[in-house]
Amino acid sequence: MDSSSLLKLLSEEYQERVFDGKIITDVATVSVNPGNWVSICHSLRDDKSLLLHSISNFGAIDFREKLGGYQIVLTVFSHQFNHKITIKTLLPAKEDDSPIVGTISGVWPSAEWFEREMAELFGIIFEGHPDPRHLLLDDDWDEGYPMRRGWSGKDFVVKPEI
Amino acid sequence: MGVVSKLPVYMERIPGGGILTTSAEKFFNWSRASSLWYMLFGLACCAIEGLMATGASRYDYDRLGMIFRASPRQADLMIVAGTLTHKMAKRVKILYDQMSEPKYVIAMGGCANNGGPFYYDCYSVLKGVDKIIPVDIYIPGCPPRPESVMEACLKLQEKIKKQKLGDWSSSTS
Repeated sequence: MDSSSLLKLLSEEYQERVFDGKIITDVATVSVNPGNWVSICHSLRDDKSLLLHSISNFGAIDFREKLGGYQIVLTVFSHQFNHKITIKTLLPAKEDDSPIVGTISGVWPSAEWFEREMAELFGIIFEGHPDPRHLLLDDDWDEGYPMRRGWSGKDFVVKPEI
Repeated sequence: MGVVSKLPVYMERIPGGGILTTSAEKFFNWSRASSLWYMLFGLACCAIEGLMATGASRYDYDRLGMIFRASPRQADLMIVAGTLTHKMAKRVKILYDQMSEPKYVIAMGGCANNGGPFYYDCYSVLKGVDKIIPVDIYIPGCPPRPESVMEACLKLQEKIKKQKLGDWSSSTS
Protein backbone atom coordinates (compact mmCIF):
# COMPACT_ATOMS: atom_id res chain seq x y z
CA MET A 1 0.00 0.00 0.00
CA ASP A 2 1.29 3.48 -0.73
CA SER A 3 1.49 6.10 1.98
CA SER A 4 -1.58 8.11 1.03
CA SER A 5 -3.89 5.07 1.08
CA LEU A 6 -2.26 3.93 4.34
CA LEU A 7 -2.97 7.33 5.84
CA LYS A 8 -6.55 7.17 4.61
CA LEU A 9 -7.02 3.70 6.12
CA LEU A 10 -5.52 4.77 9.44
CA SER A 11 -7.58 7.91 9.83
CA GLU A 12 -10.80 6.08 8.85
CA GLU A 13 -10.49 2.84 10.81
CA TYR A 14 -8.79 4.25 13.91
CA GLN A 15 -10.35 7.70 13.89
CA GLU A 16 -11.21 7.69 17.62
CA ARG A 17 -7.59 7.13 18.63
CA VAL A 18 -5.32 8.75 16.02
CA PHE A 19 -5.09 12.39 15.02
CA ASP A 20 -2.83 14.76 13.14
CA GLY A 21 -2.23 12.40 10.20
CA LYS A 22 0.20 13.54 7.53
CA ILE A 23 2.82 12.22 5.15
CA ILE A 24 6.37 13.04 6.22
CA THR A 25 9.18 12.06 3.81
CA ASP A 26 6.85 9.62 2.08
CA VAL A 27 5.85 7.85 5.31
CA ALA A 28 2.29 7.96 6.68
CA THR A 29 2.57 9.51 10.15
CA VAL A 30 -0.08 9.70 12.85
CA SER A 31 -0.11 10.90 16.44
CA VAL A 32 -1.83 9.24 19.38
CA ASN A 33 -2.42 10.14 23.02
CA PRO A 34 -0.10 8.43 25.52
CA GLY A 35 -3.08 6.63 27.03
CA ASN A 36 -3.84 4.93 23.70
CA TRP A 37 -0.21 4.07 22.96
CA VAL A 38 -0.28 0.35 23.79
CA SER A 39 -3.77 -0.27 22.44
CA ILE A 40 -3.08 1.33 19.06
CA CYS A 41 0.10 -0.73 18.73
CA HIS A 42 -1.86 -3.90 19.46
CA SER A 43 -4.52 -3.02 16.90
CA LEU A 44 -2.01 -2.13 14.19
CA ARG A 45 -0.04 -5.33 14.64
CA ASP A 46 -3.18 -7.48 14.54
CA ASP A 47 -4.67 -5.66 11.54
CA LYS A 48 -4.77 -8.24 8.75
CA SER A 49 -4.68 -5.59 6.04
CA LEU A 50 -1.49 -4.02 7.41
CA LEU A 51 0.62 -6.95 8.74
CA LEU A 52 3.03 -4.63 10.55
CA HIS A 53 5.23 -7.28 12.09
CA SER A 54 8.56 -5.61 12.71
CA ILE A 55 9.94 -2.46 14.26
CA SER A 56 12.08 -0.43 11.94
CA ASN A 57 12.80 2.52 14.20
CA PHE A 58 11.90 3.38 17.77
CA GLY A 59 13.21 6.35 19.67
CA ALA A 60 12.57 9.42 21.78
CA ILE A 61 13.27 13.13 21.37
CA ASP A 62 13.58 15.71 24.11
CA PHE A 63 11.04 18.35 23.04
CA ARG A 64 10.50 19.88 26.47
CA GLU A 65 11.26 23.39 25.30
CA LYS A 66 9.38 23.24 22.03
CA LEU A 67 6.37 21.02 22.79
CA GLY A 68 6.52 20.57 26.58
CA GLY A 69 7.51 16.93 26.76
CA TYR A 70 9.24 13.93 25.28
CA GLN A 71 8.13 12.69 21.91
CA ILE A 72 8.27 8.97 21.22
CA VAL A 73 8.52 8.01 17.57
CA LEU A 74 7.89 4.48 16.39
CA THR A 75 8.19 3.29 12.79
CA VAL A 76 6.85 -0.15 12.04
CA PHE A 77 7.38 -2.07 8.83
CA SER A 78 5.59 -4.81 6.94
CA HIS A 79 7.78 -7.30 5.10
CA GLN A 80 4.80 -8.73 3.24
CA PHE A 81 3.52 -5.44 1.82
CA ASN A 82 6.75 -3.42 1.94
CA HIS A 83 5.09 -0.47 3.62
CA LYS A 84 5.69 1.35 6.86
CA ILE A 85 3.95 3.81 9.12
CA THR A 86 5.14 6.11 11.85
CA ILE A 87 3.30 6.61 15.14
CA LYS A 88 4.15 9.44 17.49
CA THR A 89 3.11 10.31 20.99
CA LEU A 90 4.00 13.24 23.20
CA LEU A 91 4.61 12.52 26.89
CA PRO A 92 4.14 15.72 28.86
CA ALA A 93 6.94 16.46 31.32
CA LYS A 94 8.17 19.37 33.34
CA GLU A 95 11.78 20.24 34.11
CA ASP A 96 13.08 17.09 35.84
CA ASP A 97 10.05 14.87 35.55
CA SER A 98 10.14 11.28 34.43
CA PRO A 99 7.30 10.76 31.96
CA ILE A 100 5.43 7.46 32.09
CA VAL A 101 4.08 5.40 29.21
CA GLY A 102 3.09 1.77 28.82
CA THR A 103 5.54 -0.73 27.38
CA ILE A 104 4.97 -2.18 23.92
CA SER A 105 7.42 -5.03 24.43
CA GLY A 106 4.36 -7.24 24.75
CA VAL A 107 3.34 -6.24 21.24
CA TRP A 108 6.69 -6.38 19.47
CA PRO A 109 9.27 -8.16 21.66
CA SER A 110 12.12 -6.34 19.92
CA ALA A 111 10.91 -3.11 21.49
CA GLU A 112 12.34 -4.27 24.78
CA TRP A 113 15.90 -3.12 24.16
CA PHE A 114 14.81 0.14 22.54
CA GLU A 115 12.80 0.91 25.65
CA ARG A 116 15.67 0.00 27.95
CA GLU A 117 17.88 2.41 26.05
CA MET A 118 15.28 5.20 26.17
CA ALA A 119 14.74 4.58 29.87
CA GLU A 120 18.41 5.02 30.72
CA LEU A 121 19.20 7.87 28.33
CA PHE A 122 16.00 9.94 28.64
CA GLY A 123 14.54 8.80 31.95
CA ILE A 124 11.26 7.69 30.45
CA ILE A 125 9.49 5.09 32.58
CA PHE A 126 7.97 2.21 30.62
CA GLU A 127 5.33 0.68 32.83
CA GLY A 128 5.28 -3.11 32.85
CA HIS A 129 8.66 -3.53 31.17
CA PRO A 130 9.86 -7.12 31.74
CA ASP A 131 13.56 -6.28 32.20
CA PRO A 132 14.15 -2.67 33.26
CA ARG A 133 17.94 -2.85 33.63
CA HIS A 134 20.44 -0.55 31.94
CA LEU A 135 21.32 -1.49 28.40
CA LEU A 136 24.32 0.63 27.34
CA LEU A 137 25.30 2.54 30.44
CA ASP A 138 27.05 1.04 33.41
CA ASP A 139 24.91 -0.68 36.03
CA ASP A 140 25.97 1.77 38.73
CA TRP A 141 25.62 4.87 36.54
CA ASP A 142 24.33 7.65 38.76
CA GLU A 143 24.77 10.82 36.70
CA GLY A 144 21.25 11.20 35.42
CA TYR A 145 20.01 10.94 31.86
CA PRO A 146 22.66 12.02 29.38
CA MET A 147 20.43 12.50 26.33
CA ARG A 148 18.29 15.15 28.02
CA ARG A 149 18.95 18.66 26.86
CA GLY A 150 21.18 20.63 29.20
CA TRP A 151 22.55 17.50 30.88
CA SER A 152 26.01 17.67 32.41
CA GLY A 153 28.11 15.06 34.17
CA LYS A 154 31.35 15.11 36.11
CA ASP A 155 33.71 14.42 33.17
CA PHE A 156 31.55 16.16 30.61
CA VAL A 157 33.23 18.85 28.50
CA VAL A 158 31.03 21.07 26.37
CA LYS A 159 32.53 21.96 23.02
CA PRO A 160 33.51 25.63 23.04
CA GLU A 161 32.23 28.00 20.38
CA ILE A 162 34.81 28.48 17.65
CA MET B 1 70.93 -7.21 20.23
CA GLY B 2 72.57 -5.29 23.07
CA VAL B 3 73.96 -8.00 25.28
CA VAL B 4 75.02 -10.37 22.53
CA SER B 5 77.10 -7.78 20.71
CA LYS B 6 78.79 -6.75 23.93
CA LEU B 7 79.45 -10.26 25.23
CA PRO B 8 83.17 -9.77 25.76
CA VAL B 9 82.50 -6.73 27.91
CA TYR B 10 79.89 -8.26 30.16
CA MET B 11 81.13 -11.77 30.45
CA GLU B 12 84.42 -13.31 31.38
CA ARG B 13 85.49 -16.84 31.00
CA ILE B 14 86.45 -18.59 34.16
CA PRO B 15 89.57 -20.63 33.52
CA GLY B 16 89.04 -24.33 33.55
CA GLY B 17 85.24 -24.23 33.52
CA GLY B 18 82.38 -23.52 31.14
CA ILE B 19 80.73 -20.93 33.32
CA LEU B 20 79.96 -17.45 32.06
CA THR B 21 79.12 -14.64 34.44
CA THR B 22 77.32 -11.46 33.54
CA SER B 23 75.47 -8.65 35.19
CA ALA B 24 72.16 -10.04 36.37
CA GLU B 25 70.50 -6.71 35.68
CA LYS B 26 71.59 -6.62 32.06
CA PHE B 27 70.51 -10.17 31.60
CA PHE B 28 67.07 -9.66 33.13
CA ASN B 29 66.45 -6.46 31.20
CA TRP B 30 67.62 -8.03 27.97
CA SER B 31 65.32 -11.00 28.38
CA ARG B 32 62.37 -8.82 29.38
CA ALA B 33 62.84 -6.44 26.49
CA SER B 34 63.26 -9.22 23.96
CA SER B 35 60.21 -11.25 24.86
CA LEU B 36 57.58 -8.60 25.32
CA TRP B 37 54.42 -10.66 25.08
CA TYR B 38 51.43 -8.44 24.55
CA MET B 39 47.84 -9.03 25.43
CA LEU B 40 45.48 -9.69 22.54
CA PHE B 41 43.07 -7.01 23.52
CA GLY B 42 41.44 -4.51 21.20
CA LEU B 43 38.80 -1.93 22.00
CA ALA B 44 38.07 -0.16 18.72
CA CYS B 45 39.46 0.60 15.27
CA CYS B 46 43.02 0.97 16.62
CA ALA B 47 43.00 -2.77 17.24
CA ILE B 48 42.94 -3.35 13.48
CA GLU B 49 45.99 -1.18 13.02
CA GLY B 50 47.91 -1.77 16.19
CA LEU B 51 47.35 -5.46 16.84
CA MET B 52 46.41 -7.01 13.52
CA ALA B 53 48.17 -4.99 10.81
CA THR B 54 51.29 -4.52 12.91
CA GLY B 55 51.23 -8.14 13.99
CA ALA B 56 50.86 -9.43 10.44
CA SER B 57 53.71 -10.27 8.13
CA ARG B 58 54.42 -6.86 6.61
CA TYR B 59 55.37 -5.18 9.91
CA ASP B 60 55.62 -8.25 12.12
CA TYR B 61 55.80 -7.97 15.89
CA ASP B 62 57.44 -11.39 15.99
CA ARG B 63 60.82 -10.04 14.99
CA LEU B 64 60.88 -8.03 18.22
CA GLY B 65 60.08 -11.18 20.14
CA MET B 66 56.51 -10.02 20.66
CA ILE B 67 53.90 -12.72 20.61
CA PHE B 68 50.25 -12.20 21.42
CA ARG B 69 48.80 -13.86 24.46
CA ALA B 70 45.08 -14.28 24.91
CA SER B 71 45.36 -14.20 28.68
CA PRO B 72 46.46 -11.33 30.93
CA ARG B 73 48.23 -13.83 33.16
CA GLN B 74 50.83 -14.52 30.48
CA ALA B 75 51.15 -11.00 29.12
CA ASP B 76 53.79 -8.36 29.88
CA LEU B 77 52.45 -5.56 27.74
CA MET B 78 48.98 -4.12 27.32
CA ILE B 79 48.40 -2.09 24.20
CA VAL B 80 45.26 -0.08 24.92
CA ALA B 81 44.10 0.14 21.33
CA GLY B 82 41.01 2.25 21.03
CA THR B 83 38.22 4.15 22.71
CA LEU B 84 37.88 3.39 26.39
CA THR B 85 34.33 3.87 27.66
CA HIS B 86 33.48 4.25 31.32
CA LYS B 87 31.79 0.88 31.20
CA MET B 88 34.87 -0.83 29.77
CA ALA B 89 37.28 1.08 32.02
CA LYS B 90 36.49 -1.14 34.99
CA ARG B 91 37.17 -4.26 32.94
CA VAL B 92 40.46 -2.84 31.69
CA LYS B 93 41.51 -2.10 35.26
CA ILE B 94 40.73 -5.70 36.21
CA LEU B 95 42.71 -7.02 33.24
CA TYR B 96 45.63 -4.78 34.14
CA ASP B 97 45.57 -5.98 37.74
CA GLN B 98 45.58 -9.57 36.53
CA MET B 99 48.80 -9.12 34.58
CA SER B 100 51.93 -10.20 36.44
CA GLU B 101 54.79 -7.82 37.14
CA PRO B 102 56.70 -6.44 35.35
CA LYS B 103 53.96 -4.99 33.20
CA TYR B 104 53.91 -2.17 30.69
CA VAL B 105 51.17 -0.18 29.00
CA ILE B 106 51.13 1.54 25.61
CA ALA B 107 48.27 3.99 25.07
CA MET B 108 47.59 3.85 21.37
CA GLY B 109 45.76 6.57 19.46
CA GLY B 110 43.98 9.76 20.38
CA CYS B 111 41.12 8.08 22.23
CA ALA B 112 43.39 6.22 24.63
CA ASN B 113 45.62 9.26 25.15
CA ASN B 114 42.99 11.80 26.14
CA GLY B 115 39.61 10.95 24.63
CA GLY B 116 40.53 12.18 21.15
CA PRO B 117 37.48 12.75 18.95
CA PHE B 118 35.25 11.93 21.93
CA TYR B 119 36.66 14.64 24.15
CA TYR B 120 33.84 17.15 23.71
CA ASP B 121 30.12 16.54 24.23
CA CYS B 122 30.51 12.89 25.16
CA TYR B 123 29.09 11.25 28.24
CA SER B 124 30.39 7.74 27.79
CA VAL B 125 34.13 7.88 27.05
CA LEU B 126 36.93 7.98 29.61
CA LYS B 127 39.21 10.89 28.74
CA GLY B 128 42.58 9.23 28.90
CA VAL B 129 43.52 5.70 29.88
CA ASP B 130 46.13 7.13 32.28
CA LYS B 131 43.30 8.06 34.60
CA ILE B 132 42.94 4.42 35.60
CA ILE B 133 46.25 2.68 34.79
CA PRO B 134 49.84 3.93 34.50
CA VAL B 135 51.00 4.39 30.91
CA ASP B 136 54.59 3.99 29.67
CA ILE B 137 54.33 5.11 26.05
CA TYR B 138 51.77 7.33 24.32
CA ILE B 139 51.28 7.08 20.55
CA PRO B 140 49.42 9.94 18.85
CA GLY B 141 47.35 9.38 15.72
CA CYS B 142 43.88 8.37 14.69
CA PRO B 143 44.73 5.58 14.17
CA PRO B 144 48.55 5.56 14.36
CA ARG B 145 50.41 3.96 11.47
CA PRO B 146 51.94 0.55 12.17
CA GLU B 147 55.34 2.23 11.89
CA SER B 148 54.46 4.39 14.90
CA VAL B 149 53.40 1.35 16.86
CA MET B 150 56.68 -0.43 16.04
CA GLU B 151 58.54 2.72 17.08
CA ALA B 152 56.66 2.74 20.37
CA CYS B 153 57.64 -0.87 21.01
CA LEU B 154 61.30 -0.07 20.29
CA LYS B 155 61.08 2.91 22.65
CA LEU B 156 59.59 0.67 25.30
CA GLN B 157 62.44 -1.80 24.84
CA GLU B 158 64.91 1.03 25.35
CA LYS B 159 63.05 2.03 28.48
CA ILE B 160 63.10 -1.52 29.81
CA LYS B 161 66.83 -1.82 29.16
CA LYS B 162 67.48 1.22 31.33
CA GLN B 163 65.66 -0.24 34.31
CA LYS B 164 67.38 -1.17 37.53
CA LEU B 165 66.63 -4.56 39.02
CA GLY B 166 65.17 -3.12 42.18
CA ASP B 167 62.77 -0.67 40.67
CA TRP B 168 60.64 -2.58 38.23
CA SER B 169 57.79 -2.81 40.72
CA SER B 170 57.73 0.96 41.10
CA SER B 171 58.63 1.79 37.50
CA THR B 172 55.16 1.07 36.25
CA SER B 173 53.46 3.43 38.63
